[in-house]
Amino acid sequence: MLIYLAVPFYLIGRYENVLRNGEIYRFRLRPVDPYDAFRGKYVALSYIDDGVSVSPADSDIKAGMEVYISVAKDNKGFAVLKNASLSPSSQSNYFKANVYTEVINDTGTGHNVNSRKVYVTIPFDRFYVNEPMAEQAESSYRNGARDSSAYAEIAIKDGKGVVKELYIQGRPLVEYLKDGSKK
Amino acid sequence: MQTKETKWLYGQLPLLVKEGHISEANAEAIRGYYKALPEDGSNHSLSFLITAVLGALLIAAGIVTIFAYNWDDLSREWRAVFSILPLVAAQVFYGYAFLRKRDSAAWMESTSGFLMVMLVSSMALISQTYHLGGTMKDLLLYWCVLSIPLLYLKRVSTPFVLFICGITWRATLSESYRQLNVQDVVSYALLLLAAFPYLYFILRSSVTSAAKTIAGWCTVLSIGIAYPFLFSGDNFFTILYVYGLLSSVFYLAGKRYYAHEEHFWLRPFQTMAIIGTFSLGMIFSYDWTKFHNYTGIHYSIALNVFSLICLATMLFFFISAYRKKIFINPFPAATVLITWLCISLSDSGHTSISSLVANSFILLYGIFYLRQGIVFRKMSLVNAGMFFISLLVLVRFFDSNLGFLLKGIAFIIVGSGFLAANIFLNRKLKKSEAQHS
Repeated sequence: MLIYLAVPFYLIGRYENVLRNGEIYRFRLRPVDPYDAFRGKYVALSYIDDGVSVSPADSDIKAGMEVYISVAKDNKGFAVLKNASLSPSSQSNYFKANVYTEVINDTGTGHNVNSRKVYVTIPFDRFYVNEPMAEQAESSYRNGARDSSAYAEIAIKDGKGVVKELYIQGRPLVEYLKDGSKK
Repeated sequence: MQTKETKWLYGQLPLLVKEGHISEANAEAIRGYYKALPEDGSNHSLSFLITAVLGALLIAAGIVTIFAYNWDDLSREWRAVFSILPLVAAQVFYGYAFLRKRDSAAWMESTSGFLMVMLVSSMALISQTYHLGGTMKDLLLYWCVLSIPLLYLKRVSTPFVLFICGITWRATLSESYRQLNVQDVVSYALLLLAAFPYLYFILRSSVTSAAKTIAGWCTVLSIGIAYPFLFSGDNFFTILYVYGLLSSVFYLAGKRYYAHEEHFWLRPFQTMAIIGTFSLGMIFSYDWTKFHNYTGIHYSIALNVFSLICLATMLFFFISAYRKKIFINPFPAATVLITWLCISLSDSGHTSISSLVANSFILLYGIFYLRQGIVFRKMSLVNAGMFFISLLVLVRFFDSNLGFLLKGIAFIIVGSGFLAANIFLNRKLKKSEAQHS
């Protein structure tokens, strides 16, 4: 019966470790919203930048495969997906994602078969919110995503990522909603 | 605790001794045998047990709902703590029940059910707190796998029922229409197999018990519901063929494990098999080529292996029932044969012969029940026979090109005939019972 306590403790410990000791990346968002009856209301997160280049060494990557995405930051602190590979990077943070489509770049100057890009489903796909605030959160998120002021802060460590916070116009979602409701 | 059946038996024993059919020593031995049988749980009333289990599950559901509300005022750390607290409480209750109240079915059923629901609640709450992804299928898989030990720590029904509900629900989420999802099929099969030792232990008991009945119903309903979702890409006739196989297997398995049960609701395997047999017979009684150009059974290695396993299982149960001189109704036992025959005939272009075979099968089945009902003086069998025949006749009338007036008259005649036969036979049986007693 100890396993029933060991499993949740292990899960909490693992995710807390990522949140406290992982590096924080900002991912720009675009809007969607479903409902998960079992786990309460959440805002589904969809990312603007989900395309990533593939090196010629990883030409075996096809749609439906799970790959490792190396991630870096631009000069504004937003995440940049550097590379998709079949093995994890030892030089930068990474996370796993599934490829949903692939594109061979035609640069227009001749068919460049060495330049491939894949589009991946980024696994950090939800942010749970308080039931009464859910509708308001949804519309704020959509508006924020529309004017590109919405982004998710994600902690990544050793291939694991955890959504830390959802920001609208530079403020955490709940704070933004509370300020909005007072006006 | 005396059941209705043992009370009846104890009441019969003095008469049997008086008439010299058994000796007093035999009567005492019979009384001693039934008193010595282990009870399903300790002394308890069924209603108390049910209310205890329902109460625990409702409390658990309330806690889940409240936590789903998602308390933003709490910090992440406190939310993590609250995600574990219900599980800790459930563990404490279960531990207390296991150590101090192990003989109380009410305690064990309610605490194990509460623990299972708190387990999944805890997992869901952790997902919520850390905004984790994953699908309902993943959550159900982890929940079911973690719940397996609860099936065996103390053999009570509630964990088994919740477990079967979990794996069945997960099977219905399988999206296998375009392509068979082998992972879903394998995981369902493995999870069901994980529960088989529990099922076997419950079924081999010769004593009628709620646990045995519940386990049987859960098993047949789970398999019956999960199959079309897991194999939704199979063609129509292949699905019907597999249901034919399952009907025959369930019927013969029921003859081994539920042979002596009085009522149909206490015989889940046989009841579902008979429903399956009748439904398949009615389906094949139609000439399907009028509606669609269906192809035959899509034989694959997996289907062939499954068929062989089912046939071997049927043979095993048949021999087992035959040795114990248990009566086997040939109609549900032969469902797979009739199904296969009808599909083969339809696929080779002999659709009218296939339809004739199916119609004859249902008609003969109905007549069989009528005869059995009259011989053994059981109105339930007579009614079943009448129902089979009447429905067949009515459905054929629907098929025919007769006008509404004639169809209406036919329905009235069949319905009146049904009632008249029922009243006549009922009176005859009562008269016959009065003469015999």
